[in-house]
Order: sequence, then C-alpha cells, then structure tokens
Amino acid sequence: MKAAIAIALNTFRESIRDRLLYAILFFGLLLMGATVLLGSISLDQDVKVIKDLGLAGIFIVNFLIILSVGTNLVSKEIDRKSIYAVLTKPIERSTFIIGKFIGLGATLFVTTVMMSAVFVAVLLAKNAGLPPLIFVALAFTYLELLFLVAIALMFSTFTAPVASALYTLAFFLIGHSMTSLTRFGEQAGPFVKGLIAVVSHVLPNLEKFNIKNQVVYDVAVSGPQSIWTVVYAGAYITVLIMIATNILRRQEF
Amino acid sequence: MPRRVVIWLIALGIFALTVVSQININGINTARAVKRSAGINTYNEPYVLPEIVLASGALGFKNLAADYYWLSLIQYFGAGDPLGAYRQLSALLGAITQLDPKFAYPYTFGLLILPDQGFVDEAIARGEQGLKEVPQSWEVPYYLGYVQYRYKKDLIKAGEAFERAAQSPDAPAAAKILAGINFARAGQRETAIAIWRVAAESSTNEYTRQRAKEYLEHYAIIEFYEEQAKVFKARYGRFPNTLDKLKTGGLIRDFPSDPVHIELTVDPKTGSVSEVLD
Repeated sequence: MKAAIAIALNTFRESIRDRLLYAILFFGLLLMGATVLLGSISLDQDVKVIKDLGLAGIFIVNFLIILSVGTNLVSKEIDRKSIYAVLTKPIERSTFIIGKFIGLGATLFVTTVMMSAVFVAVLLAKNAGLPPLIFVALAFTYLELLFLVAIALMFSTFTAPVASALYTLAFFLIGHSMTSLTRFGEQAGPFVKGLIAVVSHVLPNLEKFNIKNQVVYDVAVSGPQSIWTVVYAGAYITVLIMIATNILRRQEF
Repeated sequence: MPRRVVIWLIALGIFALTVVSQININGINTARAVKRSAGINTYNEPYVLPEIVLASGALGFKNLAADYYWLSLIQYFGAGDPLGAYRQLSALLGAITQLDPKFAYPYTFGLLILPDQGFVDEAIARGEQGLKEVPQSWEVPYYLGYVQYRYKKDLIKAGEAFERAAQSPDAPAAAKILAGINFARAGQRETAIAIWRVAAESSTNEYTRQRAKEYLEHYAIIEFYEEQAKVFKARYGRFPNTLDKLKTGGLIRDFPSDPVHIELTVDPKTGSVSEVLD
C-alpha cells in the first residue's frame, strides 16, 4: 500500500507540474466566468444557463485533462524507460497501476474542487441558491471522470498516447450513446435487440452518472440509484485496472 | 542590443500587425455591408439538426445543447430575418423542447411569438407539449388559452386553458378572474386587453412583461384610431375607408409606431378598427 501511495504522490506531483494542465484549467476557470456573460443574454434564464454550462464545463475540462495527461500515464514511463527503475524494485504491477490511478484521480479531484468553487461562487453571486443536488451532480461527475481515468490508463498500457486518447474518446462516445442505442434496439428484430442488450451491459454505460440534466430542475436521485451507480463504477474500474495490470504483466521490460 | 529585447520587439511588432490586420478586415467588412443593402449575403440562417441526431448526438449534454439552441434563437429573433418570416423559429423551439423538455420558458416564448409569425398550429402544438412537460406552470396554459382565443377563435378550448391556468397554485389572482369570463359574450378586444394586463402585471419574466406591454400599447393605438375615426365622421360626414384617410384628412400627422407590427383596417360603415389576421 505504501508503494501505491508513493507512486500516486509521484503521479500527482508530475501531473500538476504539467503546463498543459494549467492551460486547460485556466480555460476552464475562464469558462466558469463566461457562464455569467452567456446567462445575461438568455432572457431571464441565466440561472439555468449558468448551471448547465457550469456542470458541463467542469466535466469537459477534466475530460480534456484525462485525454492529455491520463492517456500517457504508463506509455510515457515506458518511453522514458523510467518504468524499469520502478518495476525492478519489489513492486507489484497492480500496485503500479493502482498508484497511477489514484495519482491522476487526486489531480482531477483538485481541479474539480477548484472549478466547482468558482461555479458555486458564480451561483451565489447570482443569488441562485445552492441546492444540495448540485453537489450530488458534481460527485457523479467525479465518479464518471474516475471511470474514464481507468479506461485511459488501460489503453495507456499498450498503445501510444494519441491512440489511447482516441480509444478513450471512443469509449466516452459509446458510453453516452447507450441509452439511444437501447432505444433503437427496441424497434429492431429479436436478434439485434438481444445483441444490443448484451453489448449495452458489457460496454460502459456512462449515462448512469449523468444526472446533470435533472438536478437543474431539482429532480432528486434515489438512494438505491446512487448506491448502485457507485457499485457499478467501483466494479467496472476494478475490472479495468485488472485488465491493465494483466496487459502490463505480459509486457517484457 | 540584447537578444531578449530583440525577441520582445519582434513579438510586439507581430502583435501590432494583428491589430492592423483586424482594423483592415473590419473596414473591408463594413464597406461590403453597406453595398449589401438586404444583408442576405452575410446572413446565416440557424440550422437545426434532424430529430434523430438531436436525440442521440448530445452525448449527455442535452441541457447544454438546448441552451445553445435557446441562445441561437434569441440571436435569430433579435437580429431580424432578411429572408422574412423567421422560418426556422418553430424548428428551433422544437429542438429546444425535445432536448430539454423541462425547460419551461421556451413553451411560453413560443406561444408569445410563433402566432404572429404565422406559426399558429406550431404554437398550439408546443403549448400542448408544455402542458404535459411542465404541468406546474400557469403561464403555458394561460398563453395557450390566448392563442386559442385570438387566433383560432376556439372559445371552448380557450376557456379550458384559462381554467387550467387558474387552477395552478402559482397563478396570479387576476388569472383566476379570466377563467370566469364568458368568452362568447365578452368583447374580443376587452378580453385580449385583460389577458395582456395580467401578463404585464404578473409574469416573472422580463421579456413576457415587455411583450405584454407592447400588446397593450397596440390596443391603445387601435382605440386612438377609432377616436380619430369618430372625429373624421364629425368633420366629413362619413367614416374613413382607410387609415391613410386620417392622415390625408389632417387628423393625424404621423402614424403611431405599432410595437407588434400587426396590420390594421378600418370599417367604413362603423369606424371600428380591427387587426388583419391571416
């Protein structure tokens, strides 16, 4: 466990030193400020526009960080050959992957908190109130980001950063198209319907984390739904880390 | 000169070049805009994606996509349409309400602006969708009632809609009075004025209040013309057969500016002024 924390700390330090991260974060904070401008031209719908754009902006900015930083978490270590220095020590490959996952997860936690603070400040400045559901939506957003970190990390163990970013993006697109895919499947024949049902249960369904659209209207998420979503994320992330570890084990250094 | 200073000077020079370029581009665009009197060449009509793409293409950002279309609609409606008739207005509202069905104001907005642009049936369809999606709103049934009353002349449906608006817990007291009006007996203009007065005094939305005030001004202009028609009769022994006669007859110097731009006509037998509705 100590080794995993050491790797996580190192990954965290490395990622917060990345200049690209600051550029993306600056853009994100700017976006939070810009929500006020867009809200002001929305015919009294400013609070809704600020909430929608703020919640979406926090996710998009952090997803860009995953695509730029997360997709080369392992491949960069392999290219630099710094992985030799780590794996020659008595460190399990699973520990290495878990450490990397926690490290980037911590970075995203910091960036999410920073952007959320600006978002909350904007809402308070607009006297829009602060419904607790907003924080639930932010928590779900962070959970989805962790899910995407696990996907990016898995691809990072066997592909180049650009390919890894593209695969992660593809999984994001698939993950948010599952509901539509299921809807299309309902109109198809029994074979296609069955096939889509299988695919929709195997591939990640990221819409499970998407409560951004409902919290804006103060529509609550049920307790069991929240619990099952956390269980779903935990189980899937574990599987992805296991796959990543297995791939790393098969590689010879 | 030190190398660092040279680099900074070059950077400053390049920045100055971007400023000069921008000024020149703006100058060229302004010159062109004057030549294109209709503005059609520079006009981009908003494009609404097909329903199937909207349903699956928003990727978890449906509210954000709806907001994008909402802001586009405001720009579109506010900037004017050189092609006329705002033909994308209904499609834009359809996209917004499909992406974010709980977004209440577009239903009201549609009922307020679509009928005057010739989209009466679309306004009613949007209003009926709003009744299902945002049942707590008093404004959606209220303006739906107005559209049924004024544009469809369907007194039964109008009465039902006002009744529904009155039952909403948030409905203002004045809206409840409207539900008790016998539309078949009440004068059409008096009813319309009563409807808009409630909106002007009770709506929480600034645009709706503004729109309501514009309609009240419109009806005040109609009443002004009728009074002038009576003066015309006293002077010339007959009512004018066109509103222009009020001007040529020396009764009014200029036509008052009608904020809702609805064509008016005068009845040469009675002197009453009414709206020309398609």
